[in-house]
Amino acid sequence: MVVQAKFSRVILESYLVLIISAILSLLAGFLLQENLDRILRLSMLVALVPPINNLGGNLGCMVGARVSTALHLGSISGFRSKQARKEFFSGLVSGLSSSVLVGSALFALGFAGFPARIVWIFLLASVMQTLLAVFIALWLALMSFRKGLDPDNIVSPIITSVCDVGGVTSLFVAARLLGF
Amino acid sequence: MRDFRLLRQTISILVLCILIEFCSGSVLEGIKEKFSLIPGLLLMVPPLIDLRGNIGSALGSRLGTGLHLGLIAPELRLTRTLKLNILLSLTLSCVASATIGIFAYVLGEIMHLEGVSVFSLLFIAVFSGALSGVLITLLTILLAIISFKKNWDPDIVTGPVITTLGDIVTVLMIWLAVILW
Repeated sequence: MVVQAKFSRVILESYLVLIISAILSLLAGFLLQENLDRILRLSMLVALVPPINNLGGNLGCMVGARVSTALHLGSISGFRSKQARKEFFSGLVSGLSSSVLVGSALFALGFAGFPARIVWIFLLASVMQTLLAVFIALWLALMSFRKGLDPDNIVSPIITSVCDVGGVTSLFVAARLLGF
Repeated sequence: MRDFRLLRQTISILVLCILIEFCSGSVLEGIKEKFSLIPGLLLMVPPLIDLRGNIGSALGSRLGTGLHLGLIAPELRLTRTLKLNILLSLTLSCVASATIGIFAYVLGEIMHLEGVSVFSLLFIAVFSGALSGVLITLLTILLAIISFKKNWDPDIVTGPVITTLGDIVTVLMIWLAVILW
């Protein structure tokens, strides 16, 4: 919290994290640019990139923010504590059920003529993305708190950038696994 | 019962944000045409969009902790804590946006883009950063306090909603800056 820490320290801490995350997101852009021809071959995949990045980043932010609050309150101690497990599993359940809801909405609406295989790719990729987001958010929050940093300032910038890279990657892996 | 409420809040916010993202994507696609007019501008659009969401959700996360700890009262009054948080996110908005503007310029030079100007990139980055910073900061504070009052966990609501809305606000402000330039 800003109240307890020194203003200049919070500025410096946040600034560094924001710049690291900006560099990461530039990297995600490059990754996308580099694989552009492969993506264009599966043109429907492009439409899945923003929602899957959004899902991972948002889920990670929620888990991070909740764990930060719990850490400041003192109700989470470590990875193995009951509270940490509860956050982990409720994160997984919400991520998976949201992607199933969105997937079935896509399926039902036939959004922009989405074929069934694209929906399967989306579902498989969001399983990977959800696992990645929840695990890294929890780990980052616990680690940064242990190092004396404020997880409120650290987790959300880093997790959104990580999930930008993770979303594109898991879409590729899912497409490969499902034989595209 | 509490676990059920947690899941209900989380899932409804996640689904809402994904659906908004689907719709806003197509709207933004139209405006982006104008962005190719200024060389190097497209390089800094993704990091600027991310920056806005990051500053907003870090602010939301801090406010969430403050509200849960009782350090911030759930009412719309300019207390010292709130002022410090506003000052912090506005300062970060301007300084980090300027840094991204310079990064984009350097990257443009490295990639040998023609006609990259450091002044236009800096102006657009800082102008859009400051304006959308003000909007998003106010919105984050409103959201955190209102959701806390309505018994929704601000840790769940602010991050996702702010990053999703931040995308649209930032692109609109960059668009405005390009028109003014």
